[in-house]
Amino acid sequence: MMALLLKDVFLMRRRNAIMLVAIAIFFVLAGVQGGLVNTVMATMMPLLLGFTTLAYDQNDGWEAYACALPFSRIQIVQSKYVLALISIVASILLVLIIGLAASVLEIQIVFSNAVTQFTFGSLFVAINFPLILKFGFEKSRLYYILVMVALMSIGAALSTFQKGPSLPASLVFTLPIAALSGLLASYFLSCSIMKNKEFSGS
Amino acid sequence: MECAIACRHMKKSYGSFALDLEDFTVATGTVHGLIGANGCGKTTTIKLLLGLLSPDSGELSVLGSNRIGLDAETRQHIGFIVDDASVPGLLNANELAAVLKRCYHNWDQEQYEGYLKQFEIDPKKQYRKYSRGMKVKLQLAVALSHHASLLILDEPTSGLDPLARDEIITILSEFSRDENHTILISSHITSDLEKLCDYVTFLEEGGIRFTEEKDELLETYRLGIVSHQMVADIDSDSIIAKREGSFQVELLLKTENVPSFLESRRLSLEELIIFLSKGRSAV
Repeated sequence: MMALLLKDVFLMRRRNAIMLVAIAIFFVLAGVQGGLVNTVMATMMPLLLGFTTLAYDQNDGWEAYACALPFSRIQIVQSKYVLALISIVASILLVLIIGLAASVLEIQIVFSNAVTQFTFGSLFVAINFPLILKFGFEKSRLYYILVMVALMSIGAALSTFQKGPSLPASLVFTLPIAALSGLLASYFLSCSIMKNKEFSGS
Repeated sequence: MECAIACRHMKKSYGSFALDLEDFTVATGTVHGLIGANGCGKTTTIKLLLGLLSPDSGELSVLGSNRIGLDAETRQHIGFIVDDASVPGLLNANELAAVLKRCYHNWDQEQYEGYLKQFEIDPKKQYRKYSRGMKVKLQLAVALSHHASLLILDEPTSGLDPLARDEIITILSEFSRDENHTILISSHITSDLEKLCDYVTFLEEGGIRFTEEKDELLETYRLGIVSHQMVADIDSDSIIAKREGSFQVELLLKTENVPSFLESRRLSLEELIIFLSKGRSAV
């Protein structure tokens, strides 16, 4: 699996500087100002960077090539989920570090941000990965934009009912558990899709 | 004879295409060519052998594994080039090696670098910027750099200039000298296969028309060229196929049925395949 992760790192290294600057801006905004949009975007942007590796894999024919190499199909799926998890955790840590270093936000809000990031990031991956593996990146593009908009809308709706700047205690525990469950279900679904995937070509 | 590849009653269909390989084997230590027109099932066969497609029915064994698609360990011993499966376009040859040495137990970096040098591949240039020939050569370098015992190659010489094709054929010939090395190679460039193969399988419309030892196949048939008037002097039952031109008629005959008065010559594999696929309808 290290080989597959390394390949994705090589691919992501090629991304342009504008994307990296945008990600850095959202990290700073999420850490200093908090807020749902900033926090979610600070998680989504690095995830999107990882998503583009899936697009490259499918466009270049690497997905099929990798399946003929001595990788199991499960390993191919695992590497994508591990990369996504690394991305989510790294986003949480960076926002946390910036937030604490800036000393602008209360610890409760910083913690609340982390929960929001984990929940939105996990759900985004959980819904989109099986779709991309099943239908291909091009066909799934519309779905993942819809998923992103839907998640943002749900978040915005929830935040209007929120009384304080941080999440209620009940949600702090239930949201990550729900997101993690969704991620696990998504992983097994993706494994099943990949196991049965056929590469008949164009 | 030990088989590197064996398929029995293997069927696969998708869309309007159906492949039906009744009995297809590739003996260990041989070079076996898959010949046929575009769309006859060469790539489908190769994808089935690499586990990129699953057969609808029948048996399939590659290096002793009956579930090649799920058997990553067996795939350690297979080198391949396959249509519409490729390495990441943004990676260069050095980065690709860094990935693949973590994937193949027997990755031979020295050998890989040797091939890069031999093929004059710039190791720092992104794969997507290579010419078609360079892309094939890099994939071949990968296929040959992990001590594979079986090469499965789908149209490796297609789209290449004659010099590049000859270079690849020479390398494959060297690989095949080891009696434990087996090559299955598909191509519609039959002249390449004629130089390389011990056996050929001719696929037509998703089925096997024949599998023969190449030299034996070429010895079995002769091409006779006669005038239109002389055709009547030849036993019509012995004519396998014929092609009528404006001034003469070309006849495909079995060597033992060539009449003594008829001038004949050996056919190239390409001529024979064209005759067998097109000429038969003219008999």
